[in-house]
Amino acid sequence: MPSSPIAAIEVGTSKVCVLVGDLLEDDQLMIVGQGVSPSRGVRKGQVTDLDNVTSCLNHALEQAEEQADVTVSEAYVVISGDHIQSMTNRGSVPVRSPGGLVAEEEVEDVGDLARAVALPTERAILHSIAQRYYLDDQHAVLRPEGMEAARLTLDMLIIHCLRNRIKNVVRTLKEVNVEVADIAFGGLMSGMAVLSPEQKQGGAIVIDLGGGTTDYLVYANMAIAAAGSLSVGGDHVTNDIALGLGLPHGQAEELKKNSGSAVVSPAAGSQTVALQPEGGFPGKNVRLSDIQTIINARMEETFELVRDSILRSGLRTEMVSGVILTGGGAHLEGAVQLASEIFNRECQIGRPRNVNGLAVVTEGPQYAAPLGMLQHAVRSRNRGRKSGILGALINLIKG
Amino acid sequence: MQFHRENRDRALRETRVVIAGIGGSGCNVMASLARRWPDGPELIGIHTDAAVLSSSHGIRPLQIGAELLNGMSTGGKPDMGRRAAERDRDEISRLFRGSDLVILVTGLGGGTGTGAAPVVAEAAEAAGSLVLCFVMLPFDFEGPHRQEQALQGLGALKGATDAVIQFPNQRVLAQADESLNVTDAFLMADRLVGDCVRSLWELFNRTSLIRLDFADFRSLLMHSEGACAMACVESEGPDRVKHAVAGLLAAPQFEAGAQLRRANALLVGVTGGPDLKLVELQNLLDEIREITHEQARILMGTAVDPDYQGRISLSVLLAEERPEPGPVETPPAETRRDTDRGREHKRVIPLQTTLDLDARGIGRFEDVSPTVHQGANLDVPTYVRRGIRLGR
Repeated sequence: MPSSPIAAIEVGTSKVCVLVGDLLEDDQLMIVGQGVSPSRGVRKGQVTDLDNVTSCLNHALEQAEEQADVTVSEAYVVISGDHIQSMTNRGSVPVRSPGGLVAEEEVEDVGDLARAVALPTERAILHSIAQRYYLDDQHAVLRPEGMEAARLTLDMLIIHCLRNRIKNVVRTLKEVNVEVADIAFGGLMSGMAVLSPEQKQGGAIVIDLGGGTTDYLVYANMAIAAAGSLSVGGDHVTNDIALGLGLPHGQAEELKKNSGSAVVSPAAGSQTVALQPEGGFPGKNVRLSDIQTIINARMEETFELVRDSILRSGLRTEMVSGVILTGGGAHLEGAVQLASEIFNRECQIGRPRNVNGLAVVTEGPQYAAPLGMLQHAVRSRNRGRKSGILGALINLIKG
Repeated sequence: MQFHRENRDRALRETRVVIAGIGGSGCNVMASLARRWPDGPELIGIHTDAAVLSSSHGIRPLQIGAELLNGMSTGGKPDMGRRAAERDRDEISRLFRGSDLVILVTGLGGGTGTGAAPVVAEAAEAAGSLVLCFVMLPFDFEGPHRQEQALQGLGALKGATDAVIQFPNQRVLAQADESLNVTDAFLMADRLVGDCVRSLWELFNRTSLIRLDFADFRSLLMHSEGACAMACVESEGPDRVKHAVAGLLAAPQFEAGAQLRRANALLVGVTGGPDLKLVELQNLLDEIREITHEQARILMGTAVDPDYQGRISLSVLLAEERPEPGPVETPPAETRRDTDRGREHKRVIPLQTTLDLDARGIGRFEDVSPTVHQGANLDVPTYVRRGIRLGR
């Protein structure tokens, strides 16, 4: 089958990103085009100014198209925001096939049942992911076909979101003449992009520290156990600095990147950072300890919110062996140390795996979500079917 | 799909509008419109009943549920209408591909309109279009059963569209001549709705003095409660503006002007001939501002059509805007000390003076709905909420 490149798009709070990629023979993803534009008109992952977003998208699309020498008319899109929630639903069917061996039909039936959750009309299922099957409510298995049982039960993770937000994504992309092939939750995609087989085995929490949102994914007992999103992100850190130190947003952002830290260091003492005059900004000296204190409070709270949210879904941090940070916020100094203290687990930065091509993209954790999306889209296409994770929404989008 | 780079920007190309009628009433409106508008755009009729479709001249027919109903009507059963549309969902979706605005017309209370219209609307929304549905509600003489079915259908439609524009037929009848017979009453209703559809299309497709911005139009509808009304009046002569406004105030759709006075957002559309003057538009707008309340948002669009030489058509779409979600009460800095009594009480100090620049303390998140978690507004800096002291 002659393959053609596929595009993935993330309209984020800090950047609009378009990636074009294709799968190599050894299952490696090759990035052949990328377009990145600083985002304007997005707050907390939500489009607030369509005109601005459209021009950022156009800019990023043009870059990516030129580099990859393709025309992007269809794309896979990742979304985020605290409207995205997850729950586990259980379905159960009697096994009627000859010999009491579970047949493919029963696996399908139990999937349909477990997927049938009653959501309010304004919400839609974004992903339904099989976690594990039970034979006669006892033995947990990943693949039940051909096994003997009187009853087959399935736990399904349902990730659901506001229907409106999906429509808005389709509309936004339509403004730049791009059709949406499918939509996926960014936190899920970045988790799948960075997790190694060993990390899956041991269980892990992946936290994607985005500009407007913080997404998380819990992988435990060889399955995706929970996922969610908070509408708090790097933008909040910058805003806290701007308000706390009386700085314009741009200066606060620079300060965060160059001198920021998520942990307060005793060495900061009475050190100051000199901000140069620029534009209408007269320049200012600020105390390093103040910067660190402000950032530490916000980051600590953010990690605590993620932890509490995971605990509320009935999971325990002991079920995982580590925490993995990804997204642009993973670059923040001290973030790894702070996360490992709060979760009381090993923590490291997660980088997308099995990706080749344009260096800027493949090295940075900040591209984990669109890269994960691209990997899934390309793989499921090459297998000639929708993978288990994608495709839940395709009917909703295509009508 | 190929396109030129310049066309990327939506604002630079035409707004693509698709118009379709669903069920018996919807097809009637389309056929009546086609008769009076020979050079108009394509009008689509969607119905289960093959006989009605073949007798509706001038429209592009789409028969649905042929396998299910064999070309017959649904017998007034919305469930059959819904199933018919679901079976032919792919065909329906194809109609809307690449569209920006979909205008649907249907009558509620029967089988096809009530059952199929929400499915059609969903397909249109899935294409990423802005979806408006003109809905005719039954006359009283059609009986309580149809009224009840109509209300159910209305609920489903509201969920699947950006705006539902209601035409309660009874209200139309209330102002009509008493001698009006049933056939004429239906014809009159069809005409009223058809005129509104046409004026909307013209606003987006004719050259104009004041171009209606599609993005503004969309934002007006997307912020509306979904409860909309529309009326369209024509007038001619030197005093045509005055007459048009008077006609508007008398329009049965607006409850004799009452709805006009309480609307939060209005789209005012004017179609005129090449003789339409800017000063007339200004006068018109002033007159309408007189009627509406002060905060009402008014969006205006005009179209110039040579057919309208010497006369104007004035159409007004009213929307009741949904109030924006109110800001979460963040206690002002001074009172925070008193309310935040707790274990960290002693750590709380007067907030930094820099915060006075921003009374709500949320800076760049002012324009978006707050992130609230267990009663706390997370947009307020964490160190402020936790009472952590800077500058030590």
